[in-house]
Amino acid sequence: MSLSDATIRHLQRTLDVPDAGERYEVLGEIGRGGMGTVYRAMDHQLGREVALKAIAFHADAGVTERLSREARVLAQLEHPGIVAVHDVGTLADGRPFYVMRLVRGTNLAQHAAGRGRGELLRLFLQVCDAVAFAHARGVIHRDLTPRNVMIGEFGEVLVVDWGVARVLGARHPDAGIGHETSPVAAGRASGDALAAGTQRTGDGVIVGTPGYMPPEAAAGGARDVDERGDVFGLGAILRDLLAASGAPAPRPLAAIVARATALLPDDRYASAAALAADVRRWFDAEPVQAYRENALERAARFYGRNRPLILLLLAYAVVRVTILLWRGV
Amino acid sequence: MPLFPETHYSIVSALRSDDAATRARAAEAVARVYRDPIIAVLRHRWQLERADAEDLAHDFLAHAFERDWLQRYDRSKGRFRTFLRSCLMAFASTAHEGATRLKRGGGATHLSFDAALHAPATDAEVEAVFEREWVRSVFERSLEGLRQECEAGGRQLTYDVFVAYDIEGADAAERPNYAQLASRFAIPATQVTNYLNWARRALRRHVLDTLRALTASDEEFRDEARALLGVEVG
Repeated sequence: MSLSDATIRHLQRTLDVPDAGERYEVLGEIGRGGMGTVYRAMDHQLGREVALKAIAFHADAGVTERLSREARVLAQLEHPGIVAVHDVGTLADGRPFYVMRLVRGTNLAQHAAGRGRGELLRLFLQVCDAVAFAHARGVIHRDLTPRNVMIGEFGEVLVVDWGVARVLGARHPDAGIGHETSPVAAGRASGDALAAGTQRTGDGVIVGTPGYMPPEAAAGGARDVDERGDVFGLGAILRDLLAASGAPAPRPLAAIVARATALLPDDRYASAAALAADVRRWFDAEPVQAYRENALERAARFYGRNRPLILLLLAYAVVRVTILLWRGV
Repeated sequence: MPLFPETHYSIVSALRSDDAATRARAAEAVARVYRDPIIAVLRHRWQLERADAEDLAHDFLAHAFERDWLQRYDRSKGRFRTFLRSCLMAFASTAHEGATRLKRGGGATHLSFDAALHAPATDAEVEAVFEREWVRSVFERSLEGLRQECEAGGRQLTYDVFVAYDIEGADAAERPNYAQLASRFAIPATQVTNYLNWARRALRRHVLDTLRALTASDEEFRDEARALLGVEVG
């Protein structure tokens, strides 16, 4: 049978859908990036929908190892804020894939528009907690952006796209697996986390997304990026969230952003946990480490923190004065 | 131990077999897939008549196999089909020069290369034609493999539904919907989905098996799969 160009084009599109065997039926594409594609799939064995990530045919050499590494890294990070890996395998065409929880929802960039500052800050703290957990396991994300944070249907916060993560082997319990002995960069492919921008090179590695990438990574020193590189990304996310809330950011919060996104790593918070702690201080109307307040601001913060008590005392004073004056009359 | 194992079987490697029968089967398989792309290139590059191009393609493939040209393929130097196309261009150029010489000397020639002197195609054009026809050839062979599999396995209806939707439907002004196909073949609409899923999966397997057979390494296989499934033709 002779096939027309139109038929071949149709077949090319149709056959690009991966064959993951009897257990997983691919239902549609969620997103596509430099490293591969994420599909929505049905797990017939367990009767649930999952996300299946497979490398692209056009992926660079070494991507197989990077996908394998990402799966292993994620498998080590069992945390409510980090998407869980369920399975790994090989497609009929030889491409590797892994299966993870299907996150239904939107990314933080989409979710943030028009929401209040308090709600966004609470989400931000959950992101910090997930990243802090990864840091405690010796894993640096290296591409934290609002698009790499998913907000689920029930408000759950998930940090996704660990394809360029760096594992600090010394602190990793599974030394040797995913231990980065040389700089490696990779494309990204998870859901909405597919915006162009991440640059990849061989030896002079540049990893990250412009605007969220710390200067040391932008300079090609991805090998040198540590927890403070992720702190920079978190600070840039916080900057976006404060802008999305619409209201001008209070000075202490602006100072927290400035410290988190400082040019030099030594000038930033030492960890995601430290950054989160400072944001929590602001929530609790305590002085934040990033900002030295003046006397008026200290008084205002004191008033804000103790307003019920102060108002009660004021009311009591007014009543007392009124009674004294009345008796005096 | 690698997390994801790799496997490979290659007709290109079989071309170098010590067993003559194995070599002959491999040569036949290569000829089946590459004959049409070769004819297309000959017609495009030298604007040969169809019959002349078919004759020259036959001569080329016969020479290539008899003189073990294809056995000299070194996979470290690129794709097999690039190597084959280079051999073809060298062979056809020689044939062209011979035909021209004969014509100048007043002798008769069974090939007419005259048109090529006026509008020779560029290398890029030739490469594009070869690749497009190679893609078409691989899909056509794979579809034939699917047809045979369906016939042997009692899945003729599956094949017919697939052809109606994915082959004929792609050329139709309006592709039939699942309900129309269900009515036409007297099956439930859900069965149309099942048939299409099965046939697409089987065709994908045939396409990839064809590519595996026509390549010499996993790397080349992936490159070709990318070219086939990642680059549109036409």
